Amino acid sequence: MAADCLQWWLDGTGFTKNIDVKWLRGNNEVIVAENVNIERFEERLGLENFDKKLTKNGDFAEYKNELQRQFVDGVFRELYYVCGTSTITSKANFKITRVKDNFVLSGTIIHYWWDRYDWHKGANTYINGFGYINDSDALLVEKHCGARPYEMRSQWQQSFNKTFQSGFFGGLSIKLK
Amino acid sequence: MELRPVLVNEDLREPALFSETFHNQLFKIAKPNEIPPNFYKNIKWVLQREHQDYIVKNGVIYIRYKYMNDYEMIWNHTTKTNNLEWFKSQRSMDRINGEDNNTEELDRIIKGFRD
Repeated sequence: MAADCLQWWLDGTGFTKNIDVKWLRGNNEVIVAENVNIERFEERLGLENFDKKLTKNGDFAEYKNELQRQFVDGVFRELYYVCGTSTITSKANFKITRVKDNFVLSGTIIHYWWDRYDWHKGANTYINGFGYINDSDALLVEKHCGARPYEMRSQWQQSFNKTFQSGFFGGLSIKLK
Repeated sequence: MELRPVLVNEDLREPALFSETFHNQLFKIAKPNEIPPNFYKNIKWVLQREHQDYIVKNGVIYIRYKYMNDYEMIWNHTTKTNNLEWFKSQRSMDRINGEDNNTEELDRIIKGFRD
């Protein structure tokens, strides 16, 4: 994948490259980042006090929010050579419904992974076995050989349909995983 | 401690080491000339919606040290202050949930992006 991305840059079309979801999620750091955002949604959902807002059978509320996680893989992993640091933006869209004494959460989280394959004057990149390579070298390739920066992206969706009970002392402990 | 806007650290020269433990190295406090345009205008609304406690003293926003030390979360708040789509989604959510306490304020913020 790293060689493929390098070739895309050398080809110089500047077109956005869609990165295969299966390959991307095969990297542990991506799953860790995805889970960080899911846990943050769990915390936020717990603070919404749905058990107090939804008092009657059939009452429902919507919850929409988005969170971002930055991450970088280790220098021995291929993902590092694909993107260095990259971002996952997770957009949640849930409906929480009271069904008697339970609360049903249904909806989706769409995860958008993205990064720009580019180089910055004055920066450098560590390549295992070669040491630090100046970004200015890559910028020379862009100037004289027609290579061009481009956007990389990928997206996937998780669907949820879970039932929760209010705790003895009130409050909802929402676990999405 | 004082709430300051946080941005992605584009100047990170070294490979990030132990990035899970030292996650803050991926971010930086914005310099005065880097502060996103709507940050101070919209940040209080974002903090309220994100259940982030804060106080205002002499016009300065303060949050707990442990919150300010989570640069990524403050970066999330910072980017939201300039994310029109997020404000629109909150407006639509409030409408569906029948919560009209914030309608005027949200409309003012959304209008502010257009002006």
